[in-house]
Amino acid sequence: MAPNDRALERPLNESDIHAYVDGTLPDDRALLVVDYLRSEPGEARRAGFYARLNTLLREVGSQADETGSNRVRAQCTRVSRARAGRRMARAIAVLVMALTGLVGWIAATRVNPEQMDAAVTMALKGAEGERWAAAQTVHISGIGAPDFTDAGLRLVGRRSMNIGLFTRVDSFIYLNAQNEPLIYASTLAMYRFVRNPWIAHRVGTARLLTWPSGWSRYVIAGEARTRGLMLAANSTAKK
Amino acid sequence: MEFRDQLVEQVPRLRRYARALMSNREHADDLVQDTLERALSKTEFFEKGTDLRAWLFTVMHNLYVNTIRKASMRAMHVGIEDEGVAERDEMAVTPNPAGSLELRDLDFALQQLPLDLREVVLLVGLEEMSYSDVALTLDIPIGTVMSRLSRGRERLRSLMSGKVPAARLKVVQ
Repeated sequence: MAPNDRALERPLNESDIHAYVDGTLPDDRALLVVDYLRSEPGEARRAGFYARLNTLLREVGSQADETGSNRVRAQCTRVSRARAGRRMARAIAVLVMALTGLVGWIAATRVNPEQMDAAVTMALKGAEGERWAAAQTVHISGIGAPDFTDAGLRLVGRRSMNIGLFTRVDSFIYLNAQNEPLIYASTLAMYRFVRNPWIAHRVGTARLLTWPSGWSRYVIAGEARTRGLMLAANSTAKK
Repeated sequence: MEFRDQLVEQVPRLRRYARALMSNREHADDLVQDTLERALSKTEFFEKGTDLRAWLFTVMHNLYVNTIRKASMRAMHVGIEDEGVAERDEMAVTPNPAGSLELRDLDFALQQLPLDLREVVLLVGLEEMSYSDVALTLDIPIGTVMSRLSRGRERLRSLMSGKVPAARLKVVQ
């Protein structure tokens, strides 16, 4: 049996009437509906009303004027801008959080001047307690240990001190001709500096010469009477 | 075409449907605006390539149903002025008075229909949606669509022909 025959076999139902009125019924079924309506005047009037109803509804719809459309378009624009504003606010919030995190990290990984002075002073006191008479010049690989030979100093050791969770101060121990120790240390600064002349200050009997340069701060420490202290600090200014 | 522009294209259809759904023109326009705002804020829920019109009508349907539900929970009093009687333009003279009367009768009769019947009649008759699209929009089986369409149209026929059954008075003893 062909598909069309099967369609014709199924008795007409209410859905067919509505589908016929709405123009969605297949042609072969529509013919059955037409025959039925011809034989049933009451049903024909009913189907006629439904068709008229569709026409009236579309007339009602066509009378909707466009005066509100501008208002709606403006609303769309406002909503779009509000969404863009919220996206921008979220982006700014993420940026602020990232910057805050970066600043916090920088603060956590930098040694402030007071911490630096304390660490260097402790290193100096530690070095003073050691016997250096027979110490030979050592060669320490890597950067960070300047050559103070011209100042009459020789490198004899290295110390590393942890300050906080993320920071560390590396210091180098030099001896002058009298085997008196001097400490040289540097650390990353919070800011970038133009090279400044060193400044001297006392911590107990120790004298600390400090200066910033670039992204680093430098300290040379020794007892106030230790020879070569200022020569070493001056020699770094020439480099 | 940007999504926003596609939405604006649908505005006339949304407005005529909303105005047919609700008797009050301002409420209808508010519903359209709410629909567009919701659509713009939920673009991630629209699947590109699918029928935007059907999606928008679904959004509007859900918004309208929620509005009705909230109004009934608040037992909102609706004043006469809110019914948009002034919108009916009683004194207007039109070129086709008979047609205008017929449209007003239709408008009045539509508002007498329960919402579930009114929506289906409008989506099929006004928006010319297929039965399957109406089923998707309203999230109901297609059999329910046909049932509501049949009952809605027949109810309108009764209302517009003046053959609405009279209310039965209770016998008070």
